[in-house]
Amino acid sequence: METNLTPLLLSLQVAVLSTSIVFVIGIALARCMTRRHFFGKHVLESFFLLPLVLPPTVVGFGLLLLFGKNGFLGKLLDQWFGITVVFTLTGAVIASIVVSFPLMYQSAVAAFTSVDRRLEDAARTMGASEWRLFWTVVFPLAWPGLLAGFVLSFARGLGEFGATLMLAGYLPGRTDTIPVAIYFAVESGQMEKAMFWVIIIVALGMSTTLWLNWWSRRNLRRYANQK
Amino acid sequence: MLTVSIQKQLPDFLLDVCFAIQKEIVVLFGPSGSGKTTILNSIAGLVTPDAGMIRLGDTLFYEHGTKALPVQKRNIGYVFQDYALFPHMTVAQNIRYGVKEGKEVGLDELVATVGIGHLLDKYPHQISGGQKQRVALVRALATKPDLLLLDEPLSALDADTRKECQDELLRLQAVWKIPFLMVTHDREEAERLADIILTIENGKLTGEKRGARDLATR
Repeated sequence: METNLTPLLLSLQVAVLSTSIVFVIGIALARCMTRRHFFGKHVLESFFLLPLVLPPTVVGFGLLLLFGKNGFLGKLLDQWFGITVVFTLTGAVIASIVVSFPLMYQSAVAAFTSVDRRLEDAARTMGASEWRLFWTVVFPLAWPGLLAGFVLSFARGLGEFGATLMLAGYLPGRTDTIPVAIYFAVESGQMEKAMFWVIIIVALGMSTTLWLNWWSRRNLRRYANQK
Repeated sequence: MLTVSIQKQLPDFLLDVCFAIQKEIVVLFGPSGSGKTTILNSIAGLVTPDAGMIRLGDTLFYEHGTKALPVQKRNIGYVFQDYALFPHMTVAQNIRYGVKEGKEVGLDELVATVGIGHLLDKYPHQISGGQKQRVALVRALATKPDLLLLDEPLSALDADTRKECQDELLRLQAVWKIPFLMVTHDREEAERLADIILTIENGKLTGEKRGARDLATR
């Protein structure tokens, strides 16, 4: 069996890119949403979490409408930056961002909510700006939860299939991430090839969750008797 | 001089108080849930009143209808009920958090006076309640505030430590000569520490008298 490692590289590329973007956006939105109360907040939050409950094909369909040649964002991206989304790796990254965003967002909201508000108030009374208190107090204390969100998003990005297939399709060597490669290997009867990628992705997933478990247990103990 | 005249609607009653304090220890005394902490938070800028005015010396903190002065610019020290020390920072980092570079003058002295010099490298979860209280006090004074707010600062301490910390507060106020506004629901503590005791019930001031210490020293 010839081993072409492109699916692994593409998968990692997509997961690293999408997770980095999701990490920043998720944290920024979670911080805004935990600090502000406004009309329609619950509706907006439900919208954020929608990709978690919708079938990936539905998410992919929505993205196709949005980013397709005649889609609103698709047109803009094409006209302004000459970027095509459909059938490209960019499409795979966008699909991955959308499906992993709810995981990062939820983890970040939980992490920020767990930080004692009084600590933020204390920092304010000592003259700290919102920016400084975020980086010196909120972020370090929320870090275990934020990292958990990061790892979950990464794992989700690595395994994304449905929306990716709808938006980026299957172009060997260009958009065939591991899950897509598995599907088409089985489809064409190449069970060995499929098995190879299955083992790789199970190993990746398993080591990720093992590490996350170990790490969070170690860190939860850190400020255990802080009161 | 600190002048406070504020109204704020709380879930159970209308907070409506008016008082002025000099460079002395003033105790807000009253049962839990009578609006004491809301008064401190309004002065600190953590809560915005519905109406009224708060002024410290020449600085207007809040006046109804104008933009309130942000918390960060009020230059006040605040000792929170459970101290609110940053758990991920050492005692030294906690104390230096609000101190601007080049303005550390007097900080070592303060640390020595309060006797926490040997704790500087420790984390908050490694020190006792009384020690945390002292660290919180030093942290609040380290920014050289014009006013110190204390919310039940001694309520979590045992009787002996509590008395030591009360003495500490009296000493510090005598040295710093800024208004200390302290909230407590402990009558004995109020009597022992206060120059003036303001009694508050359901959001209204119901009494003002001089503390026992003040009468004794006259």
